[in-house]
Amino acid sequence: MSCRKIRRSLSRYYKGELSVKEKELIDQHILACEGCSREAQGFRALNDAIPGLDRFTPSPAFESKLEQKIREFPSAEREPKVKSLFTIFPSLRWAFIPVAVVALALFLILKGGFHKSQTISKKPETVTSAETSLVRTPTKSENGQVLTVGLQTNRHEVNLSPRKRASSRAVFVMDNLRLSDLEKLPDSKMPERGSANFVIDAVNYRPVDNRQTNVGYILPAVSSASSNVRKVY
Amino acid sequence: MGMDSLVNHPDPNSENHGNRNRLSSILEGAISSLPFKYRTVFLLRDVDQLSYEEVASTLNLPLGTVKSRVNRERRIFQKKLKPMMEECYELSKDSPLSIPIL
Repeated sequence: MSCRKIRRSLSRYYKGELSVKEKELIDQHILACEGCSREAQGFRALNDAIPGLDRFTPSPAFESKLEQKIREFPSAEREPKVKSLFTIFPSLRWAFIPVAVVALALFLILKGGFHKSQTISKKPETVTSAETSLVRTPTKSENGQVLTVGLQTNRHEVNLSPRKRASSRAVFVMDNLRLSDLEKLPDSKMPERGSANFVIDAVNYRPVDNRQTNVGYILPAVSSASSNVRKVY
Repeated sequence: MGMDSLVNHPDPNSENHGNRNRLSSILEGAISSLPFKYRTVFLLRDVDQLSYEEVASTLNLPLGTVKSRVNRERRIFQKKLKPMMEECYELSKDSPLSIPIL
């Protein structure tokens, strides 16, 4: 194995993800190669520092702020970022209708006729406004270090195309929450050690642009200094 | 991780505590510079030690996607840490972490 390959495997080496044979190869190489040995030791030091990472402490008002932010988020995302032409010139809206009808008719004809198109078209699912609620689910990992908070929301009043529905699940991850904060959550189990991520799993969320993938949303991070909402990604 | 038996917990008043803080600071810098989608898998897989399957389930992603993200995340992570590796080695020498690897 080359030094380059060895160094690239160090992460998996320390996570115990290598086969016995691969591990032996690395062991032998590290014994013989000072450069790789130093890098391995430095890497291990970093690896061992992971459990000791400082955690941000959210303020006592964190939960209510979080909930409020979640409630605000769907409506905020529906706000147009740029004023549309129709907002500036409302009369254009009426002028647009016949143009749209003609364009639609042309499209349908080109697609093979009205009848066929109507048969195969799928009606987009309209999700109507409803109450949003946070569902706190106890930890799901073996060592109990992750708390998944399900956000059940049907607040969208938008039409979700079949394609959009397929990717309409978003995950919010709030990192850097201190372990003790789990105590405040009613149904959670306290992990024995370590830290906790706060994973907020939002179903039926509609990605608003290409930048946002399945895990493309993130809620406000919490700063250690002010314990307030710091920024929204 | 997985090396707990080899690691002694440092006395908070010792120089080792300072070394550990520096290591944490290096680590935090690298974590925060990871793009979001890679930071997510890093936090779940490497910090919270979830299995690949659990990460996939938590993030509602296919297992293959999670594996490739973890793989990519580690490459990015290692690349970002590369300039600091010598310093990390020096810091580890004086700490209880410097027990020989083998």
